[in-house]
Amino acid sequence: MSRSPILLLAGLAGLALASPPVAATPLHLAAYRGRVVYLDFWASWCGPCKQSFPWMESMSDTYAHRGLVIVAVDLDRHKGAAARFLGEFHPDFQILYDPRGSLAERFKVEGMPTSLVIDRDGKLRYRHIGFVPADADRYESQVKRLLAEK
Amino acid sequence: MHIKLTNLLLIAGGALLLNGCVSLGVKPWQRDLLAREDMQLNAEPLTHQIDDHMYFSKEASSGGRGFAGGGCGCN
Amino acid sequence: MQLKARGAGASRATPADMRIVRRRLIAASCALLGATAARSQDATGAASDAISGDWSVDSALAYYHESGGRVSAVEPIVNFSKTFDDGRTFSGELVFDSLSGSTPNGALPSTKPQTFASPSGSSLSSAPITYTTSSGQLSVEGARIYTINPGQQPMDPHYHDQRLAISGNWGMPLGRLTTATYGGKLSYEHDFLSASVSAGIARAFNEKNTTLSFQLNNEFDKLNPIGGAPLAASDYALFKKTGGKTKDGVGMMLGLTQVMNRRWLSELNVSVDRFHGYLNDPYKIISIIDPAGDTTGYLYEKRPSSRTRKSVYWDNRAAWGRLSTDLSMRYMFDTWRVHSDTATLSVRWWNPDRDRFLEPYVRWYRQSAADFYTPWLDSTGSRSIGYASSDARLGAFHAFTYGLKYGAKIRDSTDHMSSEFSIRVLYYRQTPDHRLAGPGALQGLDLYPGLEALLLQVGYKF
Repeated sequence: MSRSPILLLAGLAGLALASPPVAATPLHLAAYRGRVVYLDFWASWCGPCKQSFPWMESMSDTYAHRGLVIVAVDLDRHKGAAARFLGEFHPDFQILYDPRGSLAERFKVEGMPTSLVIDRDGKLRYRHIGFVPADADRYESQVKRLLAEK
Repeated sequence: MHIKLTNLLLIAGGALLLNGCVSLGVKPWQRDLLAREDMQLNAEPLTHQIDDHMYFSKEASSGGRGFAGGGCGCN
Repeated sequence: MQLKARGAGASRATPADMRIVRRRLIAASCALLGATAARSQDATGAASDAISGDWSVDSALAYYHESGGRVSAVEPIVNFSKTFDDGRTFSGELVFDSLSGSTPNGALPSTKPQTFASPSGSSLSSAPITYTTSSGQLSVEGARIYTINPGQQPMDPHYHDQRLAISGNWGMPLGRLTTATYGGKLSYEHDFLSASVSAGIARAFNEKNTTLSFQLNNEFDKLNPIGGAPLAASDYALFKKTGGKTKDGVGMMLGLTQVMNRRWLSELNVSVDRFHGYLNDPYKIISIIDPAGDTTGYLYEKRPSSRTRKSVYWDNRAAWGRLSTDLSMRYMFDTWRVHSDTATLSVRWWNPDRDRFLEPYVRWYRQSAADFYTPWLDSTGSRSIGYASSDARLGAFHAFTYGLKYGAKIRDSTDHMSSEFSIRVLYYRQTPDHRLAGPGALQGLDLYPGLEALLLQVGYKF
């Protein structure tokens, strides 16, 4: 399941342009239609992001074969900072870079981290602002529920 | 009434803050520098405590510092 | 299943061995309370961006030394804090301090020798005495007499005190944007007991660029001065003393923190506090001087039984690459007519790897005298005085502090900067202002010695 990041970026950008970036509006991530997308916005300086990464890794390990795609968008101004962070976690999910914050702007990121959970039909179903370990179980249940939908 | 320079600066500072509060700030993903440990309001609490203790014992004023705000704004 | 441990040999970091960068809890001290010899301080913890993990420990050891054989103090502090998985925070702290040396008793130097009894004394004779006060019998060990040579500052050389304080602070998130805090502190010395509680709430607005906070504090102090609390404004030689005293205080602070831009954070706090009760320094006396400059006697000091203080504090932090700065200003005024200005500047300078820093610090302070402050009393004046104190801490003076701190982060076996060591040295100098020349023979004497002190501090956090 390694789609080209460029394709995803183009898809997202195109669709973001096409539809007004309002949270309630369905987002059609054409590249990943049929799969559940966990779109996460993070940065190396964000403490809670350091906690969400291991959890996202384990989610990816467990549910990728059932159709979960994790895309993590890095909002660091410089890639170097992200490299150090990623060197610690070695994630196997997609990392995109958005140093200018244009994707963050379009998806109305309100806090760090922010994750958007998109269902198999491309509809935005959940928005999580921030991450505390106590919420991990609830997020996982949400993903399982969406994966179960056909 | 004789107004001291520091008082004037405080009044100006207060006015600046209050006036700008509505429109000032950064996007949540632009808080890299604000997330730095040396930019936290609570950075070096023991040093401040030791200093405050010394000044409290030798002077007639004390305190001032607050406790919330700034930082990475995460969560 | 959330944070599953991986099998051995996996190339990815596991949650179990992942080192989360720990943030320590805030233990910010807020405006407060009490300006007498009794020490009382309040500290409140609040959660900001701290992430959950193990306990963090922050410790420091400070050594304080005044020149001229005056007060020396050793103060170890240890603070334990933790952020829980749901965002709640706790911070507990233990402080011990031990002071010794000599401390001014408030009397003026003289051209003749002077004899005083230490607070435990009840007369200027060294024979033990038992005397009856309104609250019962006070039996007193043999007085410790000390004699001051002509021209010397009268200092009680037997000053020693030990204090133990324990405090706990809790932070609780109420939704994403609001945090509630509450805490308590207990401080114990053999002549002073202080109990305080605080509660606060902070709310973020404007995408967390603006934070409004409000905090309330309440303090109750019980004093048991050694030898008893003297009858205010009474004749020193009569040693009229009574039993324990109390005072209590309430304070509140309104705070506004604003992110100005990516590099600049500004904070404005307004606080008010009011103390009521026994606010005298039970160990201080005032010299009665005749026109020739001779000391004819002493009176115990007398301060009003209430004091309300108001202050405005403005702090600005900024970061540029390897530098960060902190500039603050404070203005305070109270019902004793003391008003003060404070300005501080510190600049932290990091090395390229950001694991070492050097931080110079400078502080300027100036205060005006309390309206009842008087270096001495005229013998020709009325014998029944209103409020009066010769405590130098209520006089007019300005002070400078120069400090330098060095910090080094220590990397652990997995190359994480998991602990930090720091060392700090600080020089404090207080210079009295508006020095009124003494009459007669006192003209040649230095009546306003000021104060010079050095502080050395080492810290370790992990």
